[in-house]
Amino acid sequence: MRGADGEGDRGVAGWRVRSELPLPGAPPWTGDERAPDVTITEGAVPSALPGGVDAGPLLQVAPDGTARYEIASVAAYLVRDGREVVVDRRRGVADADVRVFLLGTVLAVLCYQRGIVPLHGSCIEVDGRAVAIVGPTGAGTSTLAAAARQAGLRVLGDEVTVLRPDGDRVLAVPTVPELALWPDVLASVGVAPGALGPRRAGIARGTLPVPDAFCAAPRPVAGVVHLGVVSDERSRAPRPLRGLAALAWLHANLHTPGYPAARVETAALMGRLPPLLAAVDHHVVLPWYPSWPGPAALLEAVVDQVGGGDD
Amino acid sequence: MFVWLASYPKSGNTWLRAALWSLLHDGATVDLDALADIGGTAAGRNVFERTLSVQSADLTADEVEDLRPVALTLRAARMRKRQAHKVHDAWRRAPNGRPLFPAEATAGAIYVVRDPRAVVPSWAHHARVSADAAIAFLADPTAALAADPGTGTIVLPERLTTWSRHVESWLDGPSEPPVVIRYEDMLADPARELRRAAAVMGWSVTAGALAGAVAATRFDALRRTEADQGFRERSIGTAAFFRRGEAGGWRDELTPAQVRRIEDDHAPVMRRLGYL
Repeated sequence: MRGADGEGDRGVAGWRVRSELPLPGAPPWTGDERAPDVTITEGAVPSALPGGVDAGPLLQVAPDGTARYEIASVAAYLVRDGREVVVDRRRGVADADVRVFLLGTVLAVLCYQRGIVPLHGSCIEVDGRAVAIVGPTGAGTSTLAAAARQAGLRVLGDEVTVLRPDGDRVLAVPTVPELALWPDVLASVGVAPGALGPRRAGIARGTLPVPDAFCAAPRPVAGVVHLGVVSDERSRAPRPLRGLAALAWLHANLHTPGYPAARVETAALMGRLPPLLAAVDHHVVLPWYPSWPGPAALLEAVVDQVGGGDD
Repeated sequence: MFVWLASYPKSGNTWLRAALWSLLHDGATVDLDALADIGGTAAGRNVFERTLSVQSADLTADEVEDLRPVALTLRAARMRKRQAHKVHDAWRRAPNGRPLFPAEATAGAIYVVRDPRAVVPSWAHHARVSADAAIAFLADPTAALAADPGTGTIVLPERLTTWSRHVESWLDGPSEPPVVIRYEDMLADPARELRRAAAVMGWSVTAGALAGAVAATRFDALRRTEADQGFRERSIGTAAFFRRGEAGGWRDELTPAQVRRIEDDHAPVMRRLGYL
């Protein structure tokens, strides 16, 4: 088995990950000698979970929190206890295709199972602290992370932003040094077209490896910036969020909200959000409008809002 | 359950949504930011992803098409009341054979249609292309919105096909044909057409709310509202979303040769709708 001796173990979201499936994008594990936090193996996955609740046709959640996730043409994934993933891939499917969903929805489910809140978006480092940039697909969260890299900042991850409570603080933990980008934004963030690697057969969005700009250590979270589409391009001012409004935006930008919903775990989840609110200095909606200047200007607005020097 | 507000682009869909919004709010001035109160757009990417727990950009185009009716059916089952959702897609079946807008998710449908000779200048303005390019677009069987796979958008691709085929797909495709509302009739007798639309929504309508909604969505009123509030559906680089709101404006915007080309392209369907 690949990595059975621990040599090939990877570090993802602060966990020691031992995987039969190659995870070339993830950095090697450099932490302590602990047993693996998460193991990923290939094997049979049952077609349904006993007593499972369907969160749509792709995700099923059992009463004990075990999840079954399936992309019919790629693989079925069994996710248990926040510790174990079994991958049942369809015949002939490439590793890369299996990995896309492993490092997306499956990673988010692992977070929920461990009591950690996963947000949908990217995360960058500004003056030694982390800024989560979250929002719906197409809002530009990955593009902003690419703009940050172009501006010389480091990136903690993209797609799933993992925020882990740590005493009175909340830490953003690095995931994988890769950005998911559409080809049309490359020029605006200084990336040559050839640098974008394929993500999955048959799709146009690609993966940009950013090992040169990866912040591999956890960082305290300075702010959560929600990219919100606005109607009036005149209202460009970032809008600070407080209280229930901040809570509502966090909830709206959870990754894989179907998982907590299927567990009727919403109350417990909502219980985990207020400490997150309290421990993070800035919660901001950054209005986004298609006619705005490029991502660099948006990034400046982000850094202005939550950057260093104000704590 | 969904009520589909289906139309080819620039045919009065947003106008009707604004009028329904006002009607629902007792004839109030339209809040363009809040049109989603009566329902969103059927091709919304975020709601698709949250309903299915999947990143649409990591799926192939066929996988997305196959899953769209699944997501819509799930959402319909959770709705407590009818919601009017904007659709620019032609009615069709997904690659797996299932209708994109399945009967089990559907409470009703309204098809808004407009003379293609008027759609052309409006599309040319919105898409910032020439009238000739707009005429070619209306005749293009592969025409679609947000369909460039290399570009990220907050809506899923919507496939239009040609203007004629779009009309036929909605009039002849679904097992329950839609209520057809002509843009020109909305101009001529807005109260009557709005009452027909409200009936599909299952709303009872008071005379006061109806009069208010008609006044709030006269074109000068909508243009004022857009100037005050802005509107996110306006195209980049164009002055306004709500432009002229006329039935016969095309007569001074198109050359006779251009008019003939549109009529040649779409004569049978134009006749079917009383435009020729």
